[in-house]
Amino acid sequence: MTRGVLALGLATVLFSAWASLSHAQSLPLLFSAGNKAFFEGDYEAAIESYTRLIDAGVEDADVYYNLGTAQARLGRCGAAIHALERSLAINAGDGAAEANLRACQAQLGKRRAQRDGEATVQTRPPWSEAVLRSVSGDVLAWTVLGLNVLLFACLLLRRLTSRETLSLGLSLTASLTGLALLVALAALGAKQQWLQEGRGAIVLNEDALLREGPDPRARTRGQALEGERGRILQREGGFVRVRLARGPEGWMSEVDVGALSGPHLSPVRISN
Amino acid sequence: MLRALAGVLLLSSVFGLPVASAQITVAMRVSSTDVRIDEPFQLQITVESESLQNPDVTLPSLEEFNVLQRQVSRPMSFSFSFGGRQQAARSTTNYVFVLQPTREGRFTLPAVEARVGKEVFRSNPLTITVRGSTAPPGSPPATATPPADSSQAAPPTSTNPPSGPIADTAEIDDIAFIRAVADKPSPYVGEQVTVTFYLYLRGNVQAAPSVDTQPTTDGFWIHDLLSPNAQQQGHRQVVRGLSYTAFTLRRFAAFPLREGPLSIGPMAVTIDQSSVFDLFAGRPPPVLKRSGQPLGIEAKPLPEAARPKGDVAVGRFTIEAKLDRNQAATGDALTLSATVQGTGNIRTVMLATPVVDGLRFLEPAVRDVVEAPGDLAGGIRTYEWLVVPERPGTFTLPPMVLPVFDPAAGNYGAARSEPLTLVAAGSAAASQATANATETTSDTVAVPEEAQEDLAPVRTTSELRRHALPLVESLAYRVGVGAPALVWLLVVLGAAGSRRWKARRSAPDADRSFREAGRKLEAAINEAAAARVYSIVSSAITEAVQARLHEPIGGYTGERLRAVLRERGMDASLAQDLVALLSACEQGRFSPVETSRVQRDELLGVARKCFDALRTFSPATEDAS
Repeated sequence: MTRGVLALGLATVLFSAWASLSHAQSLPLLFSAGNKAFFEGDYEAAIESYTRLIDAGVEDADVYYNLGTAQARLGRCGAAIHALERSLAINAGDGAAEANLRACQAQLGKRRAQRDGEATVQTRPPWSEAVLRSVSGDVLAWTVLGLNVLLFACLLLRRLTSRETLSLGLSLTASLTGLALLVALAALGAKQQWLQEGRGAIVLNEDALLREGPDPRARTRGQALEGERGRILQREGGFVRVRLARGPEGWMSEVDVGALSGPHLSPVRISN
Repeated sequence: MLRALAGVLLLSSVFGLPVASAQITVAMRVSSTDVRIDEPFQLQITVESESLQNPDVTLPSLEEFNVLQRQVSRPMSFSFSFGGRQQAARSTTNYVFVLQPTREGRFTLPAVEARVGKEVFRSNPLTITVRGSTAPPGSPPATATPPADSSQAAPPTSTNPPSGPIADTAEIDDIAFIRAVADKPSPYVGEQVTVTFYLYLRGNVQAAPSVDTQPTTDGFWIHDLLSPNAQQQGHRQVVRGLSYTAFTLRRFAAFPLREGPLSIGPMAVTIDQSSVFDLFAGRPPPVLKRSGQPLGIEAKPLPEAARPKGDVAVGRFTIEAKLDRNQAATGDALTLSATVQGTGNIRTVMLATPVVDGLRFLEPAVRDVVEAPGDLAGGIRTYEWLVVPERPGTFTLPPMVLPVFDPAAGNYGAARSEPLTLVAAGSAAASQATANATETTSDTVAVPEEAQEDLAPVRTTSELRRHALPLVESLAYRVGVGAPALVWLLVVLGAAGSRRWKARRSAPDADRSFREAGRKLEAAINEAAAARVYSIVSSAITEAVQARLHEPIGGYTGERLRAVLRERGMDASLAQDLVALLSACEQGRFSPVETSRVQRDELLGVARKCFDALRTFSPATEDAS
């Protein structure tokens, strides 16, 4: 009996190890398959591969970048902007991602202008995001940590020293460091959106409906534009309550909205 | 003694003698580091010193070679600058050896050491490779030969005229003549020949000779090795018993462009030998006109055996090829650069444009940088092609191959670059895919071509990082941010606690002293002697105050005690009463007049009142004060 339990346990461990190993090996293969499909012009297959990687827990700037570029190739600007923004959230200041993002926004504007005669596309994020766009959250976090350590080191040394000039110097350093720490904390807060309600989001599909309630039968309040920015305030069933950057608020289907941070609301795959 | 020191200092200041330290330059060079057995070569060791003191030179052992000739010369020069109080003396010692290898192998000549006082200066070491006596086909002749007239040979530096028979390259004149020298009489086509024109002159020269006729160089590609503005330094050389000063007029690298007999034309110069005395002599200034001899060079064809097809570069070259990026969208242009670098006639190096199916190569832009370090012409030639992928896919650019003939080794080889890979993203296929999608799904919007072309290509490598918590949300980070504040708080609280603990530890002793003082005060009632009463009261009150303040007060004056009590937070009237009481006790103790019982009772009453007040008094801490 004991031997049987041991053998079963060993088999389970070995199977888990094998499964983990094969999973690890399959991720690069998936990535290569996605790239191969992309270079062959089969963007749907490329998107499928990249999406599977993300569904498997990969949270890599390059994967999001490739996904966004493939989406852009198919003209799915909202989904492309969403993927590229996520790529930039991980790898702030990535020039290629920035360039592709601008290309998508330009493409979206042209398309909308052709359809409506005129178009306004929001190409810039809110100013606080724009200022801190090229600085990653981790860099700011390390800055805060460093300044914090420096500040309290100065305070401690000031307490321990009996030399007046040194004490004065330390007081001055502590004051300046404290000031810098406040600025860095404010920047980190803005980057992490501590004071903002909900999560940032991008509208994925053109003319997505904004409803009064989380129900497909609820009355329509308006339409959201593809690539439009907003914030996800609440989630219920297959709907999310979204406040758009231009003001309107309402419930939208999860498939029409992509979160810019945290877990995805729905599979990344977009079907038009 | 002082006079002697002053004399030395004066001499030093007048003549600029380097008394502190000497600057020595030691150099060792050979005419060739790759020689064959029995092939003579020259070794030159130069020791330059900015001191009048001759350095002690240790020469390397030459036992591995036959020393065919050995020569030492010590020219010395002075330079004076009258405006800047600067005088310089420079002495140069040249050791010239003509050596002949006796066996094969690699021989390292250790660094030459020059010692001045305690300072030691060293040259570079040299390694000489000696090969077998059988020369490879077409190998160049030896560049150094033992001079026929060895006693007349001058140091063969790069700027000095070489030793050897002169009559075959110049028409010797007793006053001045021009000599043309080629380092190789029969080079291969495309191989460098270094040609130098020397002016041998006896007597004064007032100005740089003006060149009347430059040498003709038909059949050669030329690269000048000597700057026209380079300052010439004459070198003494004895020719047929007459001492001349030899100047280098021109030196260039000549690359024969065709095989067969070629000729470098003579050079003609005019030399101005005028002087100020010509004005008084009433004669025209003497002018010398001299012309050299043409220099014949026999250019050999490249060996036919194992010769590769097409153009062959003569020299030693390497190739490096690179793409400015390895991904591009179809129709996008990228740049392929190929850099050929080495020694030889770099301007004649030709690279063929690669041919790859699916890639279009535009006409290349070619840039040359020609250099001649050590009089060996060479440089860098850069080809840049614009490459346009015409269809999507992965392309491999084959290695670029440049057939090379190495004249020193006498064999053929090839310089080769690494193959390159280019990935082209396919917009053509994308358009097709989009077109298909448009046909099948009415909602799909056609993708504008220009938008696709604006997109940067996808990435082919990724670390595929898994989801990780942002640093700011990790527990370790939060602990790290909180820890400094916590440490600081602990230190502050610890310091306060320590102070309080110390105060509390001393409290029982103080209370005991205070109680003891109270008992003393009560005992004073029963004392009969007035002086004794005053003494007991003074002692009791002093002890009570000390117990409260935790510090001795015996040495304080009345004013100082009042100030201390006030500083420690005592009421002004109580402080005043205490000081007055202690003062009264002091007066009473030593008063010759006996005090009455009533007065003593009053004193004791005041003392009790003060003692009771002290019982409730809680002093402020010294830190707080």
